[in-house]
Amino acid sequence: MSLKEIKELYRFLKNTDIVEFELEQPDLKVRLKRGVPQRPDVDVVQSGVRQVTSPGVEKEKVETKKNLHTVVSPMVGTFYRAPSPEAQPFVEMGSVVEKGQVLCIIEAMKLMNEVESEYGGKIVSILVDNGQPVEYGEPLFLLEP
Amino acid sequence: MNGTQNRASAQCFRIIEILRDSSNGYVSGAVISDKLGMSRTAVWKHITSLRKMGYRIEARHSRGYRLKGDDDLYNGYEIAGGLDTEIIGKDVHFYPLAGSTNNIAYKLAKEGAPEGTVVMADGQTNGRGRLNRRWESPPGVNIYTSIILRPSIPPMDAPKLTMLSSVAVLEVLRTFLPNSLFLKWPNDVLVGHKKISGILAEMDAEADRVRFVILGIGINVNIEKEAFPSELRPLATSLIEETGCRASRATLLKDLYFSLERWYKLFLESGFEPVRERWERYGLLDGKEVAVRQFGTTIEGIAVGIDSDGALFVRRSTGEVTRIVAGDVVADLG
Repeated sequence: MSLKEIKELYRFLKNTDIVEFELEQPDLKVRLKRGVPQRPDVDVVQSGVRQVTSPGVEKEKVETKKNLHTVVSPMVGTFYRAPSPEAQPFVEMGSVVEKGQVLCIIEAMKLMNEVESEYGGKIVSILVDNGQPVEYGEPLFLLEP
Repeated sequence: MNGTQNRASAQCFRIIEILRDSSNGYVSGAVISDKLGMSRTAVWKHITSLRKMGYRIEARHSRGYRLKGDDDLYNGYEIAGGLDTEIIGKDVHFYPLAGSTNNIAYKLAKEGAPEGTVVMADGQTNGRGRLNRRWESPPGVNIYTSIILRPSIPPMDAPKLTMLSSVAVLEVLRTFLPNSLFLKWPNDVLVGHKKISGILAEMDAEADRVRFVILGIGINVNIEKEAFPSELRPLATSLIEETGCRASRATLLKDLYFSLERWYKLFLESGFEPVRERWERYGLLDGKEVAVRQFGTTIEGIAVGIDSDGALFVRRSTGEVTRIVAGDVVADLG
């Protein structure tokens, strides 16, 4: 589940009367709970790591920046997780990467841009599917330092 | 050329000069070793490396060495020697057989090679195109080169350099084929329906700054139809197939570096518009039905031009116009 999907879930729940919501998957547990102040807490546990805890989306963004590094696309193009359709992806969820390690390729007009990690850390979120178009500045990965 | 390769080459080419001066006869090893102040063993070593570079040097017992013909000699010295450029090709790395010139150039650039450094190879064992597809790279017939550029432009402007490269290639080939060359988006150079040149660029960038761009260019020059794998024969062509004449790869490559530099300077000074205009003049797709294959999907529609960034617009049957920055364009070019 990507951060985007979690945000979508949050927006969906905000417009309902649901007070508490819990989703459990093998590698992910999401619990959304609306507290006494009108805004719900967002409590995300991913790969066993406490990722985001914040009372609202605005603050959640700030905390994401504080806790996790966001790798963004340097240009408009197509996002590839592997150097060729047959090859293994450069990184997977949970991969531990070093600074300078290639995370993905962004292609535009047959210019291939190998996007390198500017930080060392663990990949905790892959926000774009293979082969999808991305915009300039679009978040691609979340890294936990 | 650079480093040890350069120093060794300089000695080698003094031997070539001596052999060229007496092109109608043999020169003994003793004469060469006297003239250049080196041992006869050293002469023999240089002769061996010259042969590896493609020089056909005949050795006859008791008579010496003779240069057989001067046909399309292709190496770093021949290129660097007669190059009339300021940036591109000022540092030439020649490989008789490279894995991939792009890989070598990428590594050199990572190690800090200056702008304008070029890698050229007589053949490649691992020539590749988009998404690691193979680029046929037999030795002795074609051009395979990679150019390192370090433009002060934001990364999002860098894809324009690939279209610029195709315009430069087209300009050079037009002296041979004035009426039959076209460009297929974004940067294939075609003769009729068949590809004569392919370009693959790679970039290393920070969020707001290009560290370097590698322009990888392959041109099919003297490769004959039979030498292409059978599955490529309907899709690929070469200069010799189209003109019937063998072309000098060295001359062609020097012209290419010159043309690339001219367009590159124009781009840095005046922006993308001159490149875009020229591209559109030879671009084939306007008004044509196209299918753009992307990872897992195909976008079909009518090509309706390129924008100021070079991206392709395709109008779909729903009337929706899609802006395309990556993919394989399949079109009925008839």
